[in-house]
Amino acid sequence: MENERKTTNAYRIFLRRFLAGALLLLLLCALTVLVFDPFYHYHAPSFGLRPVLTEKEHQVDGTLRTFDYDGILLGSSHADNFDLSQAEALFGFPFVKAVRSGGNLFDLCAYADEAFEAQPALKLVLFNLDPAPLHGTAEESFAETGYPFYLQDKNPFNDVSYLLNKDVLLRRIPYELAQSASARFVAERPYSWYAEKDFSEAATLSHYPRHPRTEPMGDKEAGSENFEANCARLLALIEAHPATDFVFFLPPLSMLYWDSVYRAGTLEQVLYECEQVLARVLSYDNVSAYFFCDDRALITDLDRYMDFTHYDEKANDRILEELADPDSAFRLRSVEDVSARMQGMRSLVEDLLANEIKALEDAGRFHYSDG
Amino acid sequence: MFQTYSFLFLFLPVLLAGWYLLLHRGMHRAALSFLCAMSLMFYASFGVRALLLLAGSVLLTVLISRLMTLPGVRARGALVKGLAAAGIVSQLFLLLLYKIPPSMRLLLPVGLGFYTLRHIAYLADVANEGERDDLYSVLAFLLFFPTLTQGPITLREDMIGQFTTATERPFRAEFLARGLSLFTLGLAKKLLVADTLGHFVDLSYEYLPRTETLSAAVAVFLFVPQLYFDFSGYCDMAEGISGMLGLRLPLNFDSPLQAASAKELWRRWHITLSRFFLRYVYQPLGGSRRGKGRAVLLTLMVFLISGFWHGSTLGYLIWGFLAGLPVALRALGKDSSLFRTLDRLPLVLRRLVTFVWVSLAFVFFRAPDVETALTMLRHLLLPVPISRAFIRVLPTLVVTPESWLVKNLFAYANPALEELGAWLFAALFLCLVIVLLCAKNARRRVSEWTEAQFCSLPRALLLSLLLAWSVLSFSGVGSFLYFQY
Repeated sequence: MENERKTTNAYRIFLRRFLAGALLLLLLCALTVLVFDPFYHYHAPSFGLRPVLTEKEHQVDGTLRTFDYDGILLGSSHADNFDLSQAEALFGFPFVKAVRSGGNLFDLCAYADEAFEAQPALKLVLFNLDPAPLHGTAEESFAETGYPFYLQDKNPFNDVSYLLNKDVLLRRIPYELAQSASARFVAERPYSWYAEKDFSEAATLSHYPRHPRTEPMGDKEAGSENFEANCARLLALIEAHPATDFVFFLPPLSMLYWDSVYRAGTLEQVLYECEQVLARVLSYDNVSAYFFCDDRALITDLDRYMDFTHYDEKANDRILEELADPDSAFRLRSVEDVSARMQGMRSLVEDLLANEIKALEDAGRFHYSDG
Repeated sequence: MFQTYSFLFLFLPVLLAGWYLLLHRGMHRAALSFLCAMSLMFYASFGVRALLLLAGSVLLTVLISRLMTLPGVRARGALVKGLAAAGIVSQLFLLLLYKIPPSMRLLLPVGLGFYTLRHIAYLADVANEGERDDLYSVLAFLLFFPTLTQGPITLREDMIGQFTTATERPFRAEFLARGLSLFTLGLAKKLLVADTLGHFVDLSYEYLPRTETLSAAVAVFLFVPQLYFDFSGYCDMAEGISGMLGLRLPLNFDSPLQAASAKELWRRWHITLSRFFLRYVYQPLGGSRRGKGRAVLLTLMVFLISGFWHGSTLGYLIWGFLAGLPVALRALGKDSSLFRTLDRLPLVLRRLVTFVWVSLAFVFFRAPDVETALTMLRHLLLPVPISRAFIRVLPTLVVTPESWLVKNLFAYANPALEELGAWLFAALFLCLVIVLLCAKNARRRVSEWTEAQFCSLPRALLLSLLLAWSVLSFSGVGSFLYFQY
């Protein structure tokens, strides 16, 4: 009997030590994540650390919730290289960036909703509109891309995936600490990628697999179902926040992009959708719009691009300067102005196809996709 | 799956509390019903379709086994045999439906390959023995979640008695201590060892055109340890959970990579599958009773069936053939001078030869198709100057949080040392794998620990560390390799 009790005690002692040890270690790990919080899920950077924002899928939700800001910059990868300190200097208040690769409009609007929930008195939304997502999927695409929902939803229980996560502990926190201390790290341009890329005509052309033939021009309203749903989502966002200023802008995609849509037979659709969306948003008093697609000097200079749509960070700086300037030549002032600019864009594309693109073609600079 | 936060922090505590509370109050049937309900809940996480299929399969097996043991039926041997055959054919049909050629294959429900074999064995046992089991115990046996998805393939004799007498084993701290220890070691084997090995193997397959002798060797010779740690890790967890409930599962892995011959290796690898084939296929077809030639053919046939059970592609059949070939050859030429010479080789050499042979056979198991397997084997013979060899960069491509940290600590000191950091991590990890393969296996180790050893503080803390480290690895881990069977 005595022996049996002793044995049971031995196992009980083991269990106490084992469970207490494991619990203590896990609590320590959770506490470390909570303190350093590399995804800013609980708080903005502390202990004098600079924000280290390099992983949009994991950090956008946190920054929208915990950072202090009056303006947000929404967009696709074309918005990744914007300098937030420049935005703050130009507009006079702090910004956060909410970017989503591909620029799905429902995703970007969901980010905007999160921002308004965290900062109801948001002053300004700078919204980068790409032509392709206008007729893209008209629903949120987070689930399809393996998004870390535990960082987005309000369920405190699934935070365990963040708090007890080896990757966060051994990789993200050391990375956060090292980058924050590094003089080379540019904290002002969250999620930027320009430093790792080769901006040159050769690189741009090598990343442009040209369609092997020119397809017949398609119906301009071919993507109307998705387009209308995307537009409705965008307009609902504007209507829900009449006290906030919205600035929409279409970025300066290179002339190769316009060649690609021309050869795919979707040029008229793209121009129609751009015109429609700009005209519709401009009907609201709290909205202004800018159109950079017809910046001929930039879009024909392929040394400023890394592929057929992505431009260098100097282009981002220039865009911000123009957005802050109400008298900018890129600003669209009325619905009539939008129509005229689209007509001008059509002429510009025709001219580019006949001259710059033709010259590249004649010089054998293109490589072609399989079709 | 066991390696989830919800399983560890919610499901397991609720299961243990409910099980022992009901047993403590003497509510035997309620305890078994509770276990069945929890098992169904566990399996429901793999989808409603899979759950319905399992429920249908269990209902059929239970119904037929009850019919077979009705007094009126039991007396009529032909009827019992007919019923058993109907049940077994139904289970085989279900199995074949999902194992038909890949182009026609339906999405395989998790664990189907395992539970259909269990049902077949149960029906055969009931037909032979004619005993009527307690219904609650049968349901608990057929639905017992730790064995449902990846085995071990338990038999009537392993489990029914334990479920029937569950009230005789009330809660003991020892059950929990040994069970938790084994569960932790299994978890660590899967998450910390197998998954890291998987990075090396997967990268070698991913970059197949660039592989040469050494990196092909990584793919070929690390896959078997990966599979061993993955599958035996699962079995240790299953045994650990069963142990916490006061139940024992049959041994499924007994340090097979320490075997000195192919025959010994297969006796120690996936033991319950070998037992199934031996008892329900090999022996009923005559076994070794009808001459050497027939025994050899039956051995090869059993290995081919085992290959087919894993998958109906040519690769699995070749694997089955290669796995069985040395066993069959030895049975054929037991007294030949070649085998006598082989048996006189030093133990370490015999172990090495066995490991190399089994690793080469497993290339056809791991590769997505025979062409890839042959390419990998060809590359194994492809010497390339080390300066151009893929092996130079392979460790740098492995990105686990641990390897990342080591690599970047070196890079932080001096960017030129990043590659060295990656290599150091790979070398240390490989040493750990070799030590673990040569050491006593987790199940044996835990069962041999005395109460005094359980009292050791460093042991408790080491296990705590392993559990915590494994839990931290829950995010971003892959599923078990044997889930697909």
